[in-house]
Amino acid sequence: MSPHDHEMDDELTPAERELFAALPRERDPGRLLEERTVRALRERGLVHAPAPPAVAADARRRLRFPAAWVPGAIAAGIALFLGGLATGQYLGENHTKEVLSEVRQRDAQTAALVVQQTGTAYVQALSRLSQVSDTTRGANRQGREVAQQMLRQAADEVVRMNPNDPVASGILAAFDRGAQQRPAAGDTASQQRVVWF
Amino acid sequence: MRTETAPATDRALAEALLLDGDERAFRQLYARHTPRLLQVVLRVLGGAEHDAEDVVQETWIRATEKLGGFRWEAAFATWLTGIGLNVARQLLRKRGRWVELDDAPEPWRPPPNDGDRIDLERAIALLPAGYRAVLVLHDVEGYRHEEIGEMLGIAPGTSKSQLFNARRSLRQVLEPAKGRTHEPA
Repeated sequence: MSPHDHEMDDELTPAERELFAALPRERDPGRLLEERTVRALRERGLVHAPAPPAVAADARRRLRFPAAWVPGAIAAGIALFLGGLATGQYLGENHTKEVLSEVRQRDAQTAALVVQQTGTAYVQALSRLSQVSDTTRGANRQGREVAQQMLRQAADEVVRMNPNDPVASGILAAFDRGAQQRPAAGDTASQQRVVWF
Repeated sequence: MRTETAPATDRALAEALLLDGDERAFRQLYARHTPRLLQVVLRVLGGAEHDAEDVVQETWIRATEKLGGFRWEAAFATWLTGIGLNVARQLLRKRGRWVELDDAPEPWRPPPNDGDRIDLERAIALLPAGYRAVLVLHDVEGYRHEEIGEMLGIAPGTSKSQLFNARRSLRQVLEPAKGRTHEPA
């Protein structure tokens, strides 16, 4: 008897059939196995993760608007652009003015500082000159005259800055009076050699 | 009245998976076929759950890779089960628990029994791997010998003889009092 004949003769009994029929045909694979399998397929490039459906649908919904809105949207876009441009220019100009003002202020401060420094140097130089005993002869005399010229020019500038400045005006007036008296000693003055530095 | 849309066919889902790598299509196929595949593989492996899960994962990977070559002459589930059986067989072979099937009975003796009846599931798990595979496919899953022959790479006649031996062995396990020795055909 061949095995094939055995199989034909060896049918399951009704009780055995019932037992087999009662066996479960399916088994829940669980979520983890599914995710593990999908991940393995993704790693091999066999499947591609889909875009989240809710997000995609939402994006489509948001993009959908009536055609009549198109001109309005364009006008709004242009207005927005021009508004942005004007705001940019305004802010740019204001900024430029602020920068220039700052530079000017800084220049004025620098100029004032220079005046203070050179003024101090001028006074110190005169002080050294005055310590020399006889200021009426030679180089000492020349120094005194230069000092006077400097003083006059300085007074001119101060008056230019503030025409009502009483000190500077007084100095200039004194120089004018001095000039009117000087012709009497004109010959001496014409022989002076002023060294400008 | 609300109209129900017909579920996509295996073929439509498989094409979406093949052409676009559509993960949703894969998940639908997976949800549809994995519960049965897992149960078959688990029985063939004799109840080793972790091994069965590994086999199922590998089965889906191979199936997705080979999908382009599937000609739809058989049902998708049959083709998938065939791949699953091959993967399971490779695992059993690696562990020395699979012998190549032929008409001869596998060297096997029923395990000692303390007289208590054991259920069918446990009895199937105690069978040699080759017997178990043929018995599960034929008597539990209802495949024909021709289909089993294709899945396991054996002749239909070999499937029949293996089934004969498997049933005899199963009866020995289930009813130890009636006969304890395994007599090869």
